Amino acid sequence: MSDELSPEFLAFSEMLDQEESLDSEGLDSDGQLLLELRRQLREDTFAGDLPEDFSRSTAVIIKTRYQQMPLIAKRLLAWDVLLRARVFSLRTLASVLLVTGGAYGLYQVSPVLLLSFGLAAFLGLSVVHRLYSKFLPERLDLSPRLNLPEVNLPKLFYLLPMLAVFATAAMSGWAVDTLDDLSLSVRASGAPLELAAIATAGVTWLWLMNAFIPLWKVAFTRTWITVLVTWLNGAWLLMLTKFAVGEDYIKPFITGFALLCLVLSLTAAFTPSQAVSETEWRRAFKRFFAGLLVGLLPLLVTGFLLYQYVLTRELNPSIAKTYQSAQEEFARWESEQQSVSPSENGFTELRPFFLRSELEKDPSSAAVRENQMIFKRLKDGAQLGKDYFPNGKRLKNEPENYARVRAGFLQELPRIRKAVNKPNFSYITKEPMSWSTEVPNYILARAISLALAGLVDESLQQGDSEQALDYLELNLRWSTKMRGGSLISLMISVALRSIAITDIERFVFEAKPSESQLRSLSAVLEEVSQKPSALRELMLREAILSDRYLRKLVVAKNLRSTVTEMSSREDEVTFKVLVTLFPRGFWESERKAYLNLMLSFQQEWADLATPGQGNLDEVFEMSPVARSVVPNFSRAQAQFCNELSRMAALKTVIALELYKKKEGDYPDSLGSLVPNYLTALPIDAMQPKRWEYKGSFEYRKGEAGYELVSQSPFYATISLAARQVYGPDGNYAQLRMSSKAKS
Amino acid sequence: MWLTLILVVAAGVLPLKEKATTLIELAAALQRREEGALEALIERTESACFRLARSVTGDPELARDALQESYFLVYQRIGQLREPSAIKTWLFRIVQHCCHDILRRRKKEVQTDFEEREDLQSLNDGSDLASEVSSQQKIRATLESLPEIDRTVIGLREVCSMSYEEMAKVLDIPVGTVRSRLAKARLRFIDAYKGVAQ
Repeated sequence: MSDELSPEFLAFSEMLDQEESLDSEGLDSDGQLLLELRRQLREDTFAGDLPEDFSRSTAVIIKTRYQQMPLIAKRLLAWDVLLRARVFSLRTLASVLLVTGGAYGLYQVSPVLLLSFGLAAFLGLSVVHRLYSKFLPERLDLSPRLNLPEVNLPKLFYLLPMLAVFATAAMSGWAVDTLDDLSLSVRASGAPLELAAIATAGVTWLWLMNAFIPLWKVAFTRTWITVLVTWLNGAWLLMLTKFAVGEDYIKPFITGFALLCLVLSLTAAFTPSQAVSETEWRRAFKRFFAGLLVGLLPLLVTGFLLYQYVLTRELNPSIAKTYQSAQEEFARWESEQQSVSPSENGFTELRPFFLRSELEKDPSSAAVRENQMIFKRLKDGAQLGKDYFPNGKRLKNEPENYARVRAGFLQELPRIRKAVNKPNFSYITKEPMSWSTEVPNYILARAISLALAGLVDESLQQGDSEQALDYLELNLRWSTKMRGGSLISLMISVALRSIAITDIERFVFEAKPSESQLRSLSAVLEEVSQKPSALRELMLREAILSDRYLRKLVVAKNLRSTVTEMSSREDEVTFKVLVTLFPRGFWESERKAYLNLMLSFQQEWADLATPGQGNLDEVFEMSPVARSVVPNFSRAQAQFCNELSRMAALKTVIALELYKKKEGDYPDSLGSLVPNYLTALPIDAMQPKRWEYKGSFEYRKGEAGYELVSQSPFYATISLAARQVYGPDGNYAQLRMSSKAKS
Repeated sequence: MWLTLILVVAAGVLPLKEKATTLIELAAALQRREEGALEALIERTESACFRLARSVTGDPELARDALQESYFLVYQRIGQLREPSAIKTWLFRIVQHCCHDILRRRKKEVQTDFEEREDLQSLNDGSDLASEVSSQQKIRATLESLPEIDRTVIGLREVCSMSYEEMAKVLDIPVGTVRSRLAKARLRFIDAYKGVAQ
């Protein structure tokens, strides 16, 4: 046989095809052979036989085979059709772009709008398309390709069920998208939740449609079932919409859904029921349950994979080491706290007034009543501070009432003095910030600070510098005693310290203190000053305390009661629901994610470099779980640094005053204060640098005085001006001028 | 997803079409899953399709199987046919693919070297039996001896009376290739026939 093709034969072949009724007479033997071949093929002389009923029997076989195909295969086939249609149809593509653009626009305005008013848009577009399709060629009608019900009923009944499935799928996607708001583990894993949400919504939609369509097919053949299904779906949609849009916008939806259900019910009432055999019902239910089960598998697999990926976290090796040493340090600290004997522990004296649990004991008991009276006298003392606080206005307080409050507070003051003078003032913070645990009453502590500040002010006004200094030193020492094991105690202590040190400049510039008084004050400041490393130590303790809290959740046999016992947020319903719903494995994962996250910041706690950087604010905001265990770190760090900075500035101010007393004038530079007045140049902790690179304050000598300036962008974190100025020409002078102007 | 839902809902209340009469109308009716549309389509096309399948497979049984598979695919995927007017080329393309699949699947490729076939060898030996072999049988035997691709192009052209353009669509090749492939198939047929006749 020849594979070579001559041009002549090609032309001959074409000629045969161009002229269908060729006369074989004019052809050579090859041509005649090919014509004979054509004749025989066309005359069906060797085709063989097809059975007479081939078409009917083949059609029966095909339909039976098609019926036996899994539903999911049919759906995939339908989707294949749709995908092809989208790709190859410009009109469809344009529609998709239009709808997608509209949806994106709505999303930009508000996701709630997308979910709520998006449904209205969906209805509108459906109607438009319905009208439009009347003028379209039939090939654009895609309904048979989706193999929708073949029963002869108005398919409008499918509107609500389909919307309900759509909304359910959207909500499932939303639920996945919000996982990172509920879990530290999910957030820390960096899982692409937006993609997962879209995929979940898509899979849920396919799953539910696949399961429900067979059931709808038979359900909508009976009037009363159609009505029932319509109202059930209407109610379900309303519930989802209410969840999405909230109470404020739900009324139009109630009306809309009710009207729609009514119209559909009336339509169903005028549509005769159709006879559907029991076999069809059984088959529909079988397919429904099979669809539910089969569709559940990929969701379960996805859930399992997500669990494996996100919720099986381990401690990072470097974190594990830190965790180990932090635990050991915590155990040592706790042991030290517990080993303080009552005779040395200043807190023992005040325990009945400072522990809520003590105050809430049987109120009929005489001892408790006595404790409550002492508590009230100390707390009322805060009024002294409010009345006399330099920055405040004198209240229109009745003199006799003021005298009573003052006398009451002074009556209890020896207890404070005695407690402060005891070498130890320890207590055990078992859990972070919980009223039901052994955490002192900080409101009472603040009231005492305010009262002492009021007494300082009173003494200054009376020109009694010795008495003022006594109260001032007592207040400074008091502010130190509240510092405990958790971050919240640090923040309270900082607040107390802020009250105590507000009067120091006033004392230095107004009370005309002697050199010995200044040296005494300087010594107390040195005594109560914090070390820069205190923050890291405290944060590590905080991490261990929070870890204890989560551990308790993990091992607790009755989670709900444990949460009620431990949670400081009684209104945190979400947290309680989460605790009840999520298994222990979840909490264990949360615990490790928390430790990984928290302990990864330890270097920043040590550096004190950038308050606000590497902060946990975002984490703090993220979830009820996080809020319960993660403190507002960035603010605490900024406050800690601000306290260090203020203390250093005040020590410098005192040194400058001592210098002036000795030398007759302020020095030209801060360097002159070292080593006779200061052991080293003061460090401004607010500077945004690592601790070892932080420098001193800016110092400018003026004609009448001087300015000691601290500038930092991190003052904004604690709502202060970026430039803080100490000294006679600084903030103090402005404060005094402002106070005088007011009075 | 929205568009799908819109289309699904919108499609719901379209009236069923009248009974189709032409092949194109039959295709459209089948897309709408109208009762009897499949039977009518098979009845209308079975003869040409069977002859094509018969010429490609060389075996009536295989041809019938290929046809049943083809119509099943048509029923399944009629939705993919965006232009019902293209039903003819689409259908023959499916038939051709099914024939190809069935031959490959059953590993029963018609032997291309008829020298090895006993019946044809007997035709070739110049015996009395050979002289009695009718021209019709010779032609059939020769056609069956050709490669599958040759049988396909000859079948499409001569059985289905397709134009070069239609064949190009079915085979998914350029028209020029159809032209030369058909000419080559014919040439090989002639050569083979002459070999048989000698």
